[in-house]
Amino acid sequence: MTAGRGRPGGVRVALAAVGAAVMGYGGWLLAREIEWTPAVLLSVAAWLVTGPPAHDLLLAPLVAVTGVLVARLLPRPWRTMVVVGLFATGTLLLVGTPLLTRPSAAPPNPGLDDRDYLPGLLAYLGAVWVLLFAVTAGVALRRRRRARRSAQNGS
Amino acid sequence: MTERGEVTGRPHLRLPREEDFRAEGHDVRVAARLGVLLGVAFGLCFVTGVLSHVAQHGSWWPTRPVNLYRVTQGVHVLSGIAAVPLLLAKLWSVYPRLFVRPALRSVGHALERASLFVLIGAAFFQLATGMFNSAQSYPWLFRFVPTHYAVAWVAVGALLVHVAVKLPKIRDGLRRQVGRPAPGVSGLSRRGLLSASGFAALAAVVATAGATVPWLYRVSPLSWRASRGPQGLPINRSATAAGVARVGADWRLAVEWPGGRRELSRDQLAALPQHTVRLPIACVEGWSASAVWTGVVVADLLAAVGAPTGRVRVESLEAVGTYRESLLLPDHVQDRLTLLALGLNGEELSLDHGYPCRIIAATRPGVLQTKWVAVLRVLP
Repeated sequence: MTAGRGRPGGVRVALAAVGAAVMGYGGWLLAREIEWTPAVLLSVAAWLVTGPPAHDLLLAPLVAVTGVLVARLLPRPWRTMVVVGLFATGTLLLVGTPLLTRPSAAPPNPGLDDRDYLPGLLAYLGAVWVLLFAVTAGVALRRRRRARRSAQNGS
Repeated sequence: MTERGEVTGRPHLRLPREEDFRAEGHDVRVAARLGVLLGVAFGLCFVTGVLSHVAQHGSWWPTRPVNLYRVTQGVHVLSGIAAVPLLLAKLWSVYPRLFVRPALRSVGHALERASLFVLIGAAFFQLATGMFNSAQSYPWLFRFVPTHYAVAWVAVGALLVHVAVKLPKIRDGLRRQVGRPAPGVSGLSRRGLLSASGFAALAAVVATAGATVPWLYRVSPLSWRASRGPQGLPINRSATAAGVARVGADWRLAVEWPGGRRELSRDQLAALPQHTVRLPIACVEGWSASAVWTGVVVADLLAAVGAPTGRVRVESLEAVGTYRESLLLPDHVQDRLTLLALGLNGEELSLDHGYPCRIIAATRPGVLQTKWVAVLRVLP
């Protein structure tokens, strides 16, 4: 299992062996834990196997296309701001999805998970974008001043 | 994060090739650095997860510091949250490698790619199920705790294999400076992608940390500890959900030990010396909150009825449920901070908080702070 051309050293072989053993232990725990019925296996598989294809076939292409669009439509440094803002927004939406949707939720528990999450999240996202906008505007302003000064010095 | 030349004027669509991705972020220097951060996050998750396993199932767990479990489980959940953007950025940095040709070079290469699939699948599983569990949402047909525990070993094993395979590349990537962006490159620079990942991770941690960090509570919009709750503390399992009704004056606490048994009414418990302590409830779901508890020190109670000390099995009035009973280990039984609590924040314990009495002890996971206690059984 070598990636490079060179022969793997002892450390790498040992690490891979330990890793394989740990992985095997986890697999054994998992096989012992789950009920071997079609419904349960399907449920486990849905959570265990769909992550990589969902990322590779949906999320990553979406990011690539968004990146191309942002690069074509926006000048620097606003381009960077939008990409960073979209990344943070996407992350927060992903992290917020369980709380915002709560499928198959536990019975109501006073004091837990009973906030109205959407308004708070939108306000937080607003604050993130305002912060990014302020920083970017500062950068743009400084660049313009520097450009003007060097133009004056040059003339 | 931009690709130039990816969508050219070709009349037909084709699969992208590795060399189509020209953004600076697709670089071993970025991947190695994100990998180190991700390794730290996953490492913290794994270690604190195993500690949580020991706290719930082990035969020894320390009684101090009082906030031990609050901190380890808070770190567990927050490092998992931080891992979400780090994992996405890491996958983005190496995304072109997905399209490497030939797809499978050798048996070793096939094994490597298979182990990567296991690693990414297990990582997604851990982060997704963990976050849904924190939201007390269970859209699956398996038991969360043992399955999350099993897949943690799969993920860490696959991670070790991955590090073993990539070690030369990791060394190479870390040895080289991130460097300045090349002139004329349109997308996010290498440093830009690293900074963006850090920013997204920070934003996500701050957005959720209020569940366990008291002063962040007002700032965090995604804190699953939503409010203070009745009597100033959230309820994690209501009496209705547990199927427990308020007991009458004829209720008795049974204390049993090999060769003896005593029953005490609630008035008798209240007549014993009362102690007031400030202790947190720290839930496996990563929320925690401190409260002031009043009740009888369990060690005093055992001494008062003439029971020996040792391990104590605590049984609840709850008829069914994974956490209807818990085991108090000897150190916790002898600890002066282990109470059979009758009161909470200056009031009588409400039914949802465990009336007639509940266990509260330092460093124990919330699920082991058994409510509606009916029996204390000293084990031989």
